Amino acid sequence: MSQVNRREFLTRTVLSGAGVVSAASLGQLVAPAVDAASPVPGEAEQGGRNPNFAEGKIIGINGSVLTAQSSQLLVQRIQITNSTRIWKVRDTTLDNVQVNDRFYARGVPGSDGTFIAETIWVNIVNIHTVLASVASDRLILNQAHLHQTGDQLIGHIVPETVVIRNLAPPTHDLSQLKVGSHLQIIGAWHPDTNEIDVVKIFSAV
Amino acid sequence: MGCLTNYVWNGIMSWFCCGNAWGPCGAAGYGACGTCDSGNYQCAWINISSACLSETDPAACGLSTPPQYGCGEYFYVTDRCTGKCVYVTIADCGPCTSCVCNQSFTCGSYTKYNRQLDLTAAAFSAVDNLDNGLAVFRTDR
Repeated sequence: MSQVNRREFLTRTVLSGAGVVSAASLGQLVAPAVDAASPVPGEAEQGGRNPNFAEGKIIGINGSVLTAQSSQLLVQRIQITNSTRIWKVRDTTLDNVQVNDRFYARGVPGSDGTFIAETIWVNIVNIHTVLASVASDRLILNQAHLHQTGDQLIGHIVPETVVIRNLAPPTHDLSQLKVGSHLQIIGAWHPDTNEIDVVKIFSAV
Repeated sequence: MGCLTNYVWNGIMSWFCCGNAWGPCGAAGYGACGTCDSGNYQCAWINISSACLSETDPAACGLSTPPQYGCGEYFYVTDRCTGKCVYVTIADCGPCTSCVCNQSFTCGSYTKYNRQLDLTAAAFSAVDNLDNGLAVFRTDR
C-alpha cells in the first residue's frame, strides 16, 4: 500500500467511525526500508516539516482524542487508536496520559486535520548531561551542550532504569557510573519541573 | 544520489530537540544555523565550520576529519538498525563526539564507534523509535 493510499485508508477508517484500526492495517508508518523505487521521507520537504510527526502539550483529552497545542501554538487533534503504541517511561495505555503532558508522535495526518497516531512518546526527553552525583534513588545531572554545561536536572531512578555502556548488556547497576562523565539519557520529563524519570543511560566509560 | 549510493560517513547517531520546543530542551534555541526545529527533517553535523569542528573535536577520539558541509546542505541518512532512510538538511553543529570518545553501539552485524550525527526528533522518528535513543548510521549524498 503506498503512503498516499495508506493515508487515505487510515483517514477513511478512523473518520468513518469504524473506530478500530488494526495493527496490520496501520502497517509500518516509519520510512520504508531502503528501496530505490520509494520516495525517501524528507526529500520533498527539503529540510522542512515532517508531516508524519506531531508534538506539543496536551490541553484536553476526550475519549481517544487528545487536543494538543504545538510548540508553535497551533491546536491539533491527535487520534489514539487501538493500534497506537503509547510510551511514557514504558509502554502503557491512554489511562496514564494526562492533560499538561508533552509528547512527540509519529502518524498520519487525516484529511480533516486530525493526526492519527501510530506511536506517541509522552514526555520523552533525550538529554546530553554531565553526571554531578549518584545516589541509589536519583542522579544529579547537569545538562550539556557540546562542552558547556547548563541547568541542573534531578533524574529519578525507576524500575526501568538501565545503564547501557558500549557493547555490554544493559544493567540496573549504577555503581560504575563516574561523576563528571558525559551521559546521554532517555527519560520522561515531569512537566514543568527540572525532574525526569531516567529510563536509559548511555555511557562510554 | 540517494540512500546508500554515495558514501560520506558512518558512526553512531541520536536525536535532539531544537527550535520551539518543550521541556528541558526548551532553551535549545534554533541551533548554529538559526533554522533548527524539532519538527523538521534536519540534523546536526560535526563539521559545519572550523569553529564547530573544534567543539565536536573528533580528532580527540583519534578520528579522521569528517568532510565539511555547511548549513542547509543535505544528507541521506540510513539507520542501520532499521534499514530505513531519511533525507535531512544540516541545521546545527554537533554532537559532541569528544565528550563520549569511543562510545560503541551495535545493531545486528553493524557495530560502530563514536557519536557523529544527531537527527531532529522528527527526522529520527521517521527511521526509528525515539525511545531507542541511539542507532548506527551511514550518510550518503
